[in-house]
Formats: sequence, C-alpha cells, structure tokens
Amino acid sequence: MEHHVLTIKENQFHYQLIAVIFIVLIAGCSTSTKKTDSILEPEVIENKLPGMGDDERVIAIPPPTREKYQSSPVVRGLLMKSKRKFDAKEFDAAANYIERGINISPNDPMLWQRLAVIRFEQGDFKQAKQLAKKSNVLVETDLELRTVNEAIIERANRVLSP
Amino acid sequence: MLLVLVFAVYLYTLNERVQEQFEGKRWQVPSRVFARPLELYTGKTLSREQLIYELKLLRYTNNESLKQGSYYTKRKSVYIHTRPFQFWDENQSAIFLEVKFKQNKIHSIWNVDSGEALDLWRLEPLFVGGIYPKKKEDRILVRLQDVPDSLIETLLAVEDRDFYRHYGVAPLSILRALVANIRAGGRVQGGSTLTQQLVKNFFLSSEKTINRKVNEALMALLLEFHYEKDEILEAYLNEIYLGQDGNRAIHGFGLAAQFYFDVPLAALNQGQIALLVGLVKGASYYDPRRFEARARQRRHVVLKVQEKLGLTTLENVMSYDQSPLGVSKNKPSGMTRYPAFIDLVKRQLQEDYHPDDLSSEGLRLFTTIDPWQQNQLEQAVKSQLPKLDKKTRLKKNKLQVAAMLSDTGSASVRAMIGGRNFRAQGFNRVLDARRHVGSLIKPAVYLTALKQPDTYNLISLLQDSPIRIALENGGSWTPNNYDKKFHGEVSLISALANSYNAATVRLGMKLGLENVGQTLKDLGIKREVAMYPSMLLGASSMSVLEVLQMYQTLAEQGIQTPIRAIHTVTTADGETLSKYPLKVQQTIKAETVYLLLKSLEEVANSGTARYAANKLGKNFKLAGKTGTTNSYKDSWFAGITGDKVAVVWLGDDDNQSIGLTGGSGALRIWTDLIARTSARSLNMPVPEGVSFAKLDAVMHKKGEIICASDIVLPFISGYLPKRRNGASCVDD
Repeated sequence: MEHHVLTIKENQFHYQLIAVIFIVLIAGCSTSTKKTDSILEPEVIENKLPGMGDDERVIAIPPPTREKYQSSPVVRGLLMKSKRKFDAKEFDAAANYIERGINISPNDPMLWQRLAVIRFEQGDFKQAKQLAKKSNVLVETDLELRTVNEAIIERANRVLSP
Repeated sequence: MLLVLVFAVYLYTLNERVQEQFEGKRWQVPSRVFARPLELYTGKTLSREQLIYELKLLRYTNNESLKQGSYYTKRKSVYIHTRPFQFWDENQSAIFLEVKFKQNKIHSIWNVDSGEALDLWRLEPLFVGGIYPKKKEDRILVRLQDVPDSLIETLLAVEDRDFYRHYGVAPLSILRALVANIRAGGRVQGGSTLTQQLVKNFFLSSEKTINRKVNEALMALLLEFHYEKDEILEAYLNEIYLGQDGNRAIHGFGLAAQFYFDVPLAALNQGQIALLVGLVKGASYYDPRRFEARARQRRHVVLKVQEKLGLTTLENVMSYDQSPLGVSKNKPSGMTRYPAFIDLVKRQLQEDYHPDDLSSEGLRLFTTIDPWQQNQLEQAVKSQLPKLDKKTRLKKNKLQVAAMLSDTGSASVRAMIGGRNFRAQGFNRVLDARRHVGSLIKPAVYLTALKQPDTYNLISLLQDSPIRIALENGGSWTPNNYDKKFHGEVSLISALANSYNAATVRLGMKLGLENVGQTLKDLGIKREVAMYPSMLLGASSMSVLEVLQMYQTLAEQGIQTPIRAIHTVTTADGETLSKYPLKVQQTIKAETVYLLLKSLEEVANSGTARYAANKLGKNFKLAGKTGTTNSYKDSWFAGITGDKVAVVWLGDDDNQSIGLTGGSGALRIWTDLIARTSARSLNMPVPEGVSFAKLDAVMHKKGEIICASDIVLPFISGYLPKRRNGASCVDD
C-alpha cells in the first residue's frame, strides 16, 4: 500500500527522459499505422548450429513483421487525459486515468509505459523500472515503444545504483 | 453534606460520560464496500441484457420518468437517467444518457440533453456490503443543513413541540403524559424530549426503572448545558432507531430514506416524511413492510399534524390516505450478496487498518468485484454442480466448491465463491481451505527446468520410468502414474501435458527441491513450502487464492502482479486515504514463461483438459492444468485465457474422497465459467528472446512415437535444438 506523497525529485535524468518520451509521443500521435514491408511467406532460414551434421537441420522461422502498436480509441482518450494531468504535475490523477485504461485494455503496452513514466516522475524508480519491463513484455514488434522502455529502465538503474 | 458531595461526584462522572461520548466519535459508521463501476464506451463488448442487469442491481426503475435512477429501452438504445456519484477520482454529475447498441457492442453513447457524443461514461458502482461493528448499527450520516425543513418541523411537532424552548427535560410534558397514562390504565404517551430520547439511545439501556429515568433526565440537562440545540438535533436525526434488517439495525433518517424508499433524504415527499417520522414511535410496531395497515394509520396521524402546521393541505392528506405507502418492495439489504469477497476485502485491509476503524469510520472502499461476472460464476456453479453431485460418492450437498476469477493485467478479482452456498457467511474455502494441489504444482517444476535453456527445452527427453526415492525416515516412496503405466522416453512438453508423475519426480529431483521452491516463490507463494520429494506432485497445501496468484504470474509472463481486491479507500467525504496502486515485479524471464505456457496450451489441445477445448472450440486457446490428489480427495483446475485467470476447487470439508479428477470435476465448472466470461482467446505476445522452429524431429505422445515434422515450437533464441540421432518416426 502507498500513502502517496507527491515528491517531485529533480534530477539530471528527468529532462532526458522527458525528451525521449516526447519524441516518441510525437511519433505516436501520427494517426497512420506505419507498417514496414510485410513478408507474406516466411523465408526459410537454414540455421546450422555449431557441431551439427548436414542432416541435422532446424528450420528457424523468422520473427514476425514489425508493426506499430495502436491503442484503442477509448484508451487513446484516457492517455490524453492522463497526459494533461501529468503536465499539470498531478501525478496521482494521471495514474488514475492509466489504471482505468489498464482495466479496459490490460495488454496495451502504451498504458504500462505511461505508468512507468508517472512513477519515475514521482520518484518511485523501482516501480518505474518494473513497469517498463512489463510494457516490454507486451510490446512485441513495436521498436519505438521498446526503445523508450529501455531508456526508462536504464535511467532508473542509474538512479538506483549510481 | 455528605449526600451533596456524593451527588456532586456522581454528577461529575455523568458529565464526563456525556461529554466524552458527544465530543468523541459519536457513531460507529460501517465502511461501505463498492463494486467496480461499469465502464461504458464506444466499441465495448456489452449486451443490452448485461447493461440492464447492472441497472437493475443498482435499483434503477424501468419507466420513462425523468427521475434519476430510471431507464427505458427504445429500439436499439437504452436511455438512462443516471445518478450523481462521488468517485475516488472525480465527481460525476447526473445526466440523461443514451447508449446505442449494435449487435453485442456499444455503438455510441450520447448526452441526450446536450446532444454531444461521449467517449466514456461510468455508472455508479454497486454498493455490495458493509463492514459492520459487532453491534450491527448502520447509518448514513447527514448534516442538519441537508435535512429537509419539513422533516424537522414535522418531527418536532410530533415528538417534542417545545424542543427549542426547554432545557432538556419538560416537566409539563411528563405531567401530561402521566395523566394520559393513568387515564388509559397503561402507557400510551411518552413525555420524553428529543434530548432525553437521544440520551436514552446513546447511553442507556431500555430498562424502565426510576433510577434510569433520573439518570436520563440528568444527562439530558448536562447535554443541553454543554451543546447547542442544533447539535443535539443533528445527533438525534442520525441516532434514532428506524428499522431492522435481519440483525442490522437501521439508524437515522439518512439511511431510513434509502432503506424504505430507495431515495436520498432530500428527495422525500410529504407522505414519505410523515411515515418516517411516524416510525420514531415504534419502528417495529409500525414496520410498513410487515404491518401496512398500522403504518398507514400512523402516517395518517402524522399527516394531520403536517396539515395543522401548514406543511400540507387537507386535499393532499386525503390523497395520501388513498395511496399506498410507496415502500420499495425488496428492502435494499446491507447483508452482502458476496460474503466471500467481502471477507477477502477485510483481510487485505487488515494489514493497514485496525478492524475497529474499518467498522466505525464510514470509509468508502472501492473494490474490483464485477457483479455481472460474479453472477456468471454463480450460474456456472449452479448449472454444473448438480451433475457433479451425481458423479460424486459423497452424501447430498457435501461436495464443496471454491472458485476465483481475475483479470489478466491488473490481477483484479472479478468474482469469487467460498462454498456451494454463495450467500452464507462463515468458512471461506477460497482463503482458508488449504488443500493439496496435486499436479497444479507441476508447472513450477517444468519452469525450473526451462530456466536452464542450455539443458532443457520443450522437446528435451525425460524418463517416465519407475523411480524409488529413499526418505529421511528410512522408508521409500515410489510414485506411480495416474494410468498406472510408465511411458518411457517422453518429451518435456508431453510429460507436462499428460501430467506424467514419474517423469516429473525424476526431473524435479534432478533440478533440486530448493530450486523448485525458489520458482514457487517467484510465482508468488509467500509462505514457506515444506520441501520434500512428494511436494513435486503437489503434496503441498495451498489455498485457491495462492494458486490463483501462481497462475496469475504465469499469465503475466513472469511479471508477478499481486491479486487485487481493493484499489482505493476514501473517507466518508470522499478524500483519498490510501491507494493500492498496480504494482508489478518481474520474477521470471518472460521467454521462459512463454515456453511453459506453450506446454500448458498443450494440456487443452491434447492433454488432460481436452474437455475445455471441445467445449470452447478449437480456435479458443487457453493454457491450464488439472490437479487431482490421492484417493480423489481434491479436484482442481487452474487456467488462463486472453483476458482471464480462473481457479476452481472441488472437495469435501471432511477430506473424504469425492471420486472426481481435476478433468472430470473442477474443469467442468471452469469451462462453463470461461464460456460465460472470457472474451479473448489466449494470444500471448511473443517476448524478445524467443525464436520459433519448425521441427524436423520426433515428438512423443502417450508413449507412442509419432511423426511431428509440421509442429512449430518456441525456443529460447540461441538455443535452437539439434535433430536427435537414432530417433525414428512411425511414418518413416
């Protein structure tokens, strides 16, 4: 349980993180779903492991195509409301909107990532890191989301063990 | 002189008592527990039936009135006059809502008055029960300024005409009452002032002795000496006894308005006010639900008083006299419909709150239970249990059941039952019946293996052959398989899917019991689990809640997420006291759990839970595990879909054999429950670090070697398997 105390820790990572997230948010705001060229038929890769004979073949299937994650409209609305509260530094209120979103759409990596960012701003670096990891589990092929998650984890790590 | 001194001391102690009670916490106000609010948004999968079910639970009436708390349907829409509600995060005002449906989805939501489309709206959450003190008084506190003037005027006219003029006792009234009583040859009239009535309710028993009467009068005088009339009146309005609901006592006008008429105090009409004020004289004697004629008679008396006061006209009195009491048919019960869940809420709060505070501070507890899903769980049990009763060897109604359903992601508890009688308080099997879990524990063994990708993958061969384990007490243990056969070399995935005991014990012993124990901890088991070999087959006692936590961690792909029943606690005024935010912690690598879940999918595809796949359809993916204990004493199923985790247990309180396996028992209820509540087939996101391979290898199934060259299985990247020499395919 947490009795939330709003302590905003100013630190050097703060602005870097905001910058990274801002860039990604801008990217995320474009409504078109960017799809990289999809490969319809998986290419068969002959994957030889060291020490394998010629007949010892394993056919590895290439990873699926890279796709950008799209939140549902209702979640996008909640993300926006949360962002407004976040900008006003009302972090508990911002988190409330995200939790509401998670109840509606538990597998949306964007929601978990935003919660990570909010916890980071509240100074709860451990949860920020864990939430970013959670988001990463759900990210699948959206590299941009993954990049932000990694940035949160890295920065949280730096604060946690300088 | 001595007498005066004794009296002075006595008066002093009385004074202390009066002040202490009045200054301090005057009432124990039970905490109020609320369900999750129903979120309405465009695109939500929700049937009209589901929405109307919720509205009915919220006691909305079905008519085209403009009253808050009413609804009607027209074509594809449901029109709702919502009620205002103070949520933990915002105040939501009442609006006139149109919810338009298309098939079983919400097509759009409209604010009818303004004509604007809404993207999101939530109904107020259902009140699901209170946490009561031992003395079961219930009340909703009201402030004097929120009480309608006409109610106060009526009350004073009927009960204490001189309230604003006397000093706590009114000798004239007592005299008047005395005369009336002597004339009638019995007690017909009371001469007590409101202050005296309050004192009586507050401090004293109801015995009728001179001693008590004197005390009452003295304390009334003291109360008046210390406090303003308005303070005393406000206390009276909240204190007075106005009805009974089982062993819960209805106190104060705030709760009485709801208890009898389903409306807030401010919305009472003159007739309703007359009835409530009439009840002060004797709430059980004039109980409008039991003694309608008496209550009507009493209402008439009070209405006539109102007429004299000019609060109502003779015409109105006559019209009320012609009309029924208007008391809601079903009394809104404070007795919860969900005792098992309320019990869980209490226990989760006990870590942070003193039990006395929970039952006295009027806290508002916002929880996760979903009344619709709870009803589905109850329906699933109701429809399956009679069939299982017939299959079991137990006496009638002895077969017990406990079950829990949660959401993936937030790990919120959406439904739970603690026994076959859903409404009964008492033994809560979900929390308190710790039973052997049988094969439900096996995923922990296989997960421990998969944590070592250089040694184990899904097609690693295990030996399913007899094994004898020497025990510390000098004896030995020789685990057998359920089908009493041994299957030789089997792949890891099929050993788990088919729940082979010998293969599991061999694997577990090789991995080391401590390592398996660590995996149990990683999965969220907090208690120390005794580590002996038979633990590998589930000779280890756990509660349904603990099993749910284990499988929840699996569903979250190794991100441990504590099972949640509460998310916010606020004061009676809506100020947040504590939040129970979503907390997560990665305890096992996602890719390791991904592999394990693939094997648990196989349990439904080809293993012990094929029943579920047959019922839910081949396209509906799930991962789960059956559990059966020695001599068929426990039947378990724990499983995961794309949006739900659920655990069902069947057994006997006296630990007799029930003659059911996990597959023939608990799985039946689980499948029925999932068919009703789960909208998403399991579709695990593929974590980084997992690669897929089309296998040009050999799989073993039920001891037979089959060719499985078209099977695609996941592996940890960098540890793709080699083709095994010497293995042969039946089709070769």
